[in-house]
Amino acid sequence: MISYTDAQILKGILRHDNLILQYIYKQYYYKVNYFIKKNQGSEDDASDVFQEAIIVIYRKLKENDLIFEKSSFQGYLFSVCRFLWLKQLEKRRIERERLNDSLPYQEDLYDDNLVEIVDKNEKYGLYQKHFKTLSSDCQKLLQLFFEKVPLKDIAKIMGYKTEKYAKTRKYKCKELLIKRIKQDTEFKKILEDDT
Amino acid sequence: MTPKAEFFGRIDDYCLNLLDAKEKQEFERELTTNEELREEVQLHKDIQAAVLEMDVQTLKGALDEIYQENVVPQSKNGSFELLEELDEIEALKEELTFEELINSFDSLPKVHVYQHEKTSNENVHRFYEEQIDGTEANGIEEEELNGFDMEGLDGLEEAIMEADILNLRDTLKQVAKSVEPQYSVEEIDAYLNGEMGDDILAEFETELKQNGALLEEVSMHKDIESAIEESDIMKLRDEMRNIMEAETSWNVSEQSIEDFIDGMLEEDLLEEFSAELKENTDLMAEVSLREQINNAIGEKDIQSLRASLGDARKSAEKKEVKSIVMPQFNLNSTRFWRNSVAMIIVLLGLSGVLFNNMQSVDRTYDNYFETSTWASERSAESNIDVFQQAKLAYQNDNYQSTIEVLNKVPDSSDEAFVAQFYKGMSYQNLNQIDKAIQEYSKVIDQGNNLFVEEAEWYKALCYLKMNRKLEAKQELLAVIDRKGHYENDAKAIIRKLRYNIK
Repeated sequence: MISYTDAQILKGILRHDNLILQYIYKQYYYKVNYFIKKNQGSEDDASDVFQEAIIVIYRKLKENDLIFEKSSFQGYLFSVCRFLWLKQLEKRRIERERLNDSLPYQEDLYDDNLVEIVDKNEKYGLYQKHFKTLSSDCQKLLQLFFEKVPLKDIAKIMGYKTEKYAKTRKYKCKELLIKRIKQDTEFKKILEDDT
Repeated sequence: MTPKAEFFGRIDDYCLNLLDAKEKQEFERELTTNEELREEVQLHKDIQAAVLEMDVQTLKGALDEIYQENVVPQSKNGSFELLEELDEIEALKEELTFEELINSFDSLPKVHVYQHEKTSNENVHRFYEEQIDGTEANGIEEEELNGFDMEGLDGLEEAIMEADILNLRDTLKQVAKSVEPQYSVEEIDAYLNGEMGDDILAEFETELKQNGALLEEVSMHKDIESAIEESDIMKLRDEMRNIMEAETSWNVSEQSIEDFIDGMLEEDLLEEFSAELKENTDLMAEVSLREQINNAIGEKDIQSLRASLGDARKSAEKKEVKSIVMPQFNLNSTRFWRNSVAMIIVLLGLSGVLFNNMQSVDRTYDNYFETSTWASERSAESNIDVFQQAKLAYQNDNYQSTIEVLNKVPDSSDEAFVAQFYKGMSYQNLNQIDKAIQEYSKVIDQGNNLFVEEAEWYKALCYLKMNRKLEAKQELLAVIDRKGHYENDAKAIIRKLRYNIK
């Protein structure tokens, strides 16, 4: 089995390198899966947590905020997974004292920034989930808008006759998106957490 | 428990005075004891009042105009069909009929009457009763109405009426405030993009400072915008999901799995492998599947080894791992690798086994059914002699006579499926795959028996043997749907099939 150094793994995550991602999955997933199943979780919970942990690490990397002085990639990944699962358990009102710790994690990795990123990731993840439920037309349109592409060009790209139509269409899409987000019970939970 | 919709319906009916006398009495009794209901009713009344108020205002304006042109709208006018409910007002009914009311009144007071009927209590209606004779409507504004010549009324009613109206006005203001239109998506967008006109901008920003809800709304818009811009994150998430769906989740090579099963894994690797095997359930399933396949297609030497280990087999007690062939075999093999008994097995890759090495598959069929069990507990009560005979023959690997005996069980028999299943097994043993499939199909079609899942499973194996992958896949999918004993094995085979087809 080929193995990669931490630096290679991190670079791979930044580049979305499929080989590296596969490697991470094969190398570490089963441990996370085992841990979560031991702690009132399901297979689906495990894959959610694992996936979001990679996303959190990616966010950290993008912010240039990830240096493994005290830990390794594995240690960090497990700590993040454990933290994410703890958060889920709290939501499900399950006592953390009963946690069956099978993951080698490091408490000292839980800094404020991680908490912040995890919260942001949760909120953004929800928004993105609903964004993905919009028609592809809507998705593309909104993305173009948010990337500050001029209205004229957007109309052209999307094949709309007028800029005005592009604009109205965008409001419709956004309104739909906001409606779906607000109807999501997860969203209410996130709001409750914030306050 | 009253369902919510009905509950609201009740309140609505009450406010609109649509309840009959008995219902109304009941409702009012409830009203005196139930504070929650009282509040709810009040709210409904207020909302009605607020909504109607707006209607009335616009109507009033329109009517004024019409009035000046001396055109009095007829009662048939759409808006006033609402007045049909007027005949519900007891106080009014006493003195004049609906017809009279329509004909003798000008529209405007009627609207007021209507409104007050909706929103206020009997006192107000009395007030109107007082007015019925003398008052001509001249597009009186609400304010004027309040200050209306009260001399003719007696003091008490005047006071109550005043209080009512004042109260109503306060509530109206509150309602108006709470439904004050929030800024639209369009306006918030304009604000965020800096496209808002200066005059509105100032107003918007003041509102933003005071209005927490608006602030929340704006910050949510900002967040959504940034969230959607994170196309890299969404892409990464998709990629992860794809990998997790398509890839196997173990960290060992195929070679290591095979070596492990063969007992040929080197010391240090073995340690690593065992550690992962302990926690990785997917790997566990894979190892056991491969073992079962090996068992099924093993060569003569394995058969003899198996024979010599027959005693160990009999004492095997664990039944967790499923067999690709018949239950008992598994028990043994599971136990073997768990005990790290080194087994010298000629290994064949699954794909080779299934698609290329048909010969070896064929050869092994006779042998591997040798110890398969006759599940007598599933057999039926009658036909005992026939089944006993068949069982004996089956256990002695005499498949031809098993079939002959079982042929005595008519297809119309209640236990036909038992015979059909074991005939299928026997045909499969005799390598008459076509016939085996026919028998299994009968079992599956019968549907209501304990053999269906197994029949589907073996049918799938038959198709695999015939290299009819599509049919095999369909049967395997059916097995997976049952979420039963063979689910994971079927999934694993489908996964293998996919790789092999590539």
